[in-house]
Amino acid sequence: MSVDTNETDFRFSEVFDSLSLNDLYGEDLAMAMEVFGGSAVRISETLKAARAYIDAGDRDRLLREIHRIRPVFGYTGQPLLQDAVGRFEGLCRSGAAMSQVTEEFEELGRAMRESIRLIEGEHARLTGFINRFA
Amino acid sequence: MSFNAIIVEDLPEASQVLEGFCRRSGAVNVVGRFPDANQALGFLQSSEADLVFLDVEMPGIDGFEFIRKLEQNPQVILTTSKTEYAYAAFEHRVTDFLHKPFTYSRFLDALQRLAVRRQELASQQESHLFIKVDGRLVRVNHDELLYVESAGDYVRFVTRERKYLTHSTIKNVEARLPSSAFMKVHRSYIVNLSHVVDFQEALLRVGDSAIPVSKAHKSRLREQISGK
Repeated sequence: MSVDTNETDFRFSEVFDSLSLNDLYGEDLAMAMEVFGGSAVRISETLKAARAYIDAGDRDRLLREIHRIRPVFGYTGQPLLQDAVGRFEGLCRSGAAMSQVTEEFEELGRAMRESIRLIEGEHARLTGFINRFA
Repeated sequence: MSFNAIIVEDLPEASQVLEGFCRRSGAVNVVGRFPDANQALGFLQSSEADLVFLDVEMPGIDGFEFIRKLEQNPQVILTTSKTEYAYAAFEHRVTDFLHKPFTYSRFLDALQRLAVRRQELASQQESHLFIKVDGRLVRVNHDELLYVESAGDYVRFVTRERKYLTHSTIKNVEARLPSSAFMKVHRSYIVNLSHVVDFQEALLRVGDSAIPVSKAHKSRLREQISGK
């Protein structure tokens, strides 16, 4: 779906890095909407899978799961969270005790859940905005 | 410049954004998007692409294994979120390495590199080039060319029989000559390796001429000559 948004003035919410989002999506808000919609689902799935790996003490699969999701925070304009995920990956690789990994994961998990909430909100804004032109 | 590309990427968001960049550039036509390398290989058995955007870590075979299995010879741009793969990327002769998520301007830089590489590959398949001399286009066969020398805003093409002066730069000429046969040995000189007579210290003899070799190019020149 392609929407001509030349005459629009959509602004991403302040919690997101709008410079980066404008660079990524240009005028293609429909693509931004798709990416935001998919990202919320993807992060939610990752959280569930990561929780299962934490419970199983499977550090390698936890690392793979978390690593895979990292760029998604970039695609949704959340560079700080992207960096936080990178630091968590570093902790997993460092051979830190599983108890410490679990503790850090709880904090990261909270941030990721908040991120899902923000992304869903922005997805709703984008959808509403685009539907004005449908 | 236009490319027919496939995107091999298991993260849908990365794939969508990349396809958006391709569309926005107007220079890359995406002919397929695949979540794993096996599906992409299957597609390439019956279709062609001259460019592959390739993730490294994917389910099934990884990006490097994919490159080894390729029967066609497309240019490859690696897209990954791990910088640790940069060396392996170099080893696999990929055209560029994009660290996810990358900006649109970085993507455009990659397109520039693709264009330069395409030109290099094309020139390697040609046996000659045409240069403009006094309003005429003159054919110079690669095997007759001894060396090219910078001369201010001009470059001089030197063959055994003739010298031609044309308005250009060493950098432009280097891009037009096959890197398998020609090498820049100094900021002002490109030599035809098959005409090198001898090489000592900082001087290279090509035909009857002595060509200076800069420090920066010496070890690579030695490798090139001894490998020939």
